Amino acid sequence: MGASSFPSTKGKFKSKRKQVRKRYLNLTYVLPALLLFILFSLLPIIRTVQYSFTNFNGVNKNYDYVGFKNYLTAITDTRWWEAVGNGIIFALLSLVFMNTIALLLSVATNSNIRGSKFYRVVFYIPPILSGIVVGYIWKWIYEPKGLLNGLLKDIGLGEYTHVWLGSIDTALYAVAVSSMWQGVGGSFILFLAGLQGIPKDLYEAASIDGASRFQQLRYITIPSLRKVYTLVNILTILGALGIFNHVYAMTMGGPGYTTEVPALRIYREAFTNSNFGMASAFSIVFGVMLFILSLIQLKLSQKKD
Amino acid sequence: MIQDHRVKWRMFILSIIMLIALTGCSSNSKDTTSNDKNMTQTNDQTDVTNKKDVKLVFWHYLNDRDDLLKEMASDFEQKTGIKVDVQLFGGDGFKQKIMASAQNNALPDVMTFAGGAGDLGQLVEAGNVMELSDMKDMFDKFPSTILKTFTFDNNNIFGVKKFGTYAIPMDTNNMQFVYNTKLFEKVGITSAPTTWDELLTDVDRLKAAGIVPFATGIGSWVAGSMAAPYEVAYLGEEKLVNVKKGDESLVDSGYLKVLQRFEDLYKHGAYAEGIATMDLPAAEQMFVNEEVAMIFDGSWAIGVFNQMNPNFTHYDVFQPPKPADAAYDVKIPGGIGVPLVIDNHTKNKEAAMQFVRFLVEKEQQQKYASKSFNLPANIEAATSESGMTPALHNFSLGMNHIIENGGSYPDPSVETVLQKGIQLIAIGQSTPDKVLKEMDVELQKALKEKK
Repeated sequence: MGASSFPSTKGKFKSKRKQVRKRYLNLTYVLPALLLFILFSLLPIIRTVQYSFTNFNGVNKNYDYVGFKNYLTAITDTRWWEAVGNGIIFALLSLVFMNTIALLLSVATNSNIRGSKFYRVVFYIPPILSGIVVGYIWKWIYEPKGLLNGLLKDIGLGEYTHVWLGSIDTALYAVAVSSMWQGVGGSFILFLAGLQGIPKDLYEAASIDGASRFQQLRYITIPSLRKVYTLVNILTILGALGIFNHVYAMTMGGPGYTTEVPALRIYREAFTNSNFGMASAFSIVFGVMLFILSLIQLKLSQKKD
Repeated sequence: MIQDHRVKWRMFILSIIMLIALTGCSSNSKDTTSNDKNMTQTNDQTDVTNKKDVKLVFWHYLNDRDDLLKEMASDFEQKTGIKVDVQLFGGDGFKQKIMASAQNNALPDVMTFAGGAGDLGQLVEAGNVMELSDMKDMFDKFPSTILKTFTFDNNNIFGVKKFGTYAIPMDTNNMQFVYNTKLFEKVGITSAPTTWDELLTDVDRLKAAGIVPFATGIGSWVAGSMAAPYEVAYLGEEKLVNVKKGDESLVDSGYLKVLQRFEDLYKHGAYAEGIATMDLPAAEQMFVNEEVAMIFDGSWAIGVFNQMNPNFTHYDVFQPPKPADAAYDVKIPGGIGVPLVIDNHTKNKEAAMQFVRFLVEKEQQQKYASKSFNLPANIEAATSESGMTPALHNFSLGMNHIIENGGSYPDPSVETVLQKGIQLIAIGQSTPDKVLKEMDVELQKALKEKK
């Protein structure tokens, strides 16, 4: 018995060893990416959390721990919340206008219109440009003697010329337009990918049943894109709230605090005021806010499903 | 068996890749910096006497002077055999680059520092920059007030405890009003205004003739610099220092009048459209295009104007005009334009000092002034007038009226509130009263936090 059972135990042991080895082998495939993630994402986050409890000035490593003081200042700072408010306006405008335009463009280019492939490429050009470059281009467009005012004058709408970036009434919206112009291509490509995943026979069946184009959009396209929509919305909210390049290039948060946004405030706190501790606290507060927002959005969409 | 062998090999190769990645990522950036400086440093453990092996790394942010500095570095190499790798990092991010590099002891041998005395003080305290008492023999070549800017003694307001001088000036600068002489003449103004009322009258005349009177970089840091002459004129330097320190009340100090001057300009329609978010390069472009008659700018602007349009030369300079109700003389912001700083950890200390000495020698300074249109720091070069345009000479005269001690707020956030407030006053969206109250709130907050 004993002699006969020995080889089978050995075999089991051997297969277990093989399994362990396979598991380790799999781990080695993941390990480089995991290490890079730890080094370039996880450790900086941990370091930021650590700095947020200090008065670190960005250079001198002899800093003191200040407890929750930075967080208290961040939460009670009205200017910070104004900046968050501006970020929310950017996000809302992007959700409503940018994503609607992106959806319509993707529906249009998904159909067999002439040159649809060309348009797909054209619409995806802005997102691959540098945000700073786009910001400077739009700054030039908005200048008092810039392209936009020139165009308005040329088409007989001279009375509508305006100091777009220098006025508190329009600065925020002017920056939002430039940011949406750049962002629309990103949403467009995601919607297009989603559209191409919808089975064609659904449309054919609907068309046989006499559904109009609008009805097809309403009852087939939009419901089928729900998951894509969730993803696009989350990315839009994160992108719009985290806007920096456009504001930096176009207004530096001005006039006054009209276009001040959270990322610019964090930047200023760190690099102008040399207050890395405070900047870290703002970053953590902001990061938590974005995380909660994404979770809410995700939960809401799951509920709908 | 063969499969086992393959698996082992795969694991071995992966381990090697990970090891390389880890070594690359975790080692001190000073070791990983790919610039030639560190290569030189490791090869140059012996000493700097073998100068042919020494290669200094020099960082600067002066876009318009890159070629000139490279030329000077080449002259230096011919003279001494020491190579200098001149590296340009233009733009606003230079200060951030310095701060980030300082954290990892990865600063170059020599650099032009970007930032104020408080910023340099942080590097001093962290042990990143070299104290320059070994170059004491050079100090009397510069105006003493200029050298003081980056000298920390026991009275320094930045809390720096490592006393000493940490920067040598490569050039000096100051900020004044620059005006287009032809546009002034066109409306019958024959001389620059000397009082605030005269300035407002000139603004009215220019405006009436359809000429935009004034532009500057109010959307950026310039707002604070433009306020500085009037801070001194209304408060005096001593009171200003006390107010900024929080020893005297800001609200009752008379600071309101400083802000009212910006409101005057708004009420007289002086500002160009888009002033609230305008940066200095945009204002300079308008001035060179003759779209605006006056600009508040620094002495470096002459080089900028020349670069934008070499044929545009009909402009001159005047000091900020004094308001009738100001108790003190108007003084202007200025001092070290470009401070030269040496890395405290450099292995090429002697060579670095030799290079700095070379850059501030009379001959080099004259060459620098004539080619870059900037005010030389070396007194001998500055007084020789060699190669200076009339406007630059007038700027150089302004060096006698520099604000010696304008004080410093306990936190730069107060300056930000001032800057943002001026932006809003300039477009009629805020009042001096309101801005002053906001500044006071920020100052009290900063003082409380400091305590």
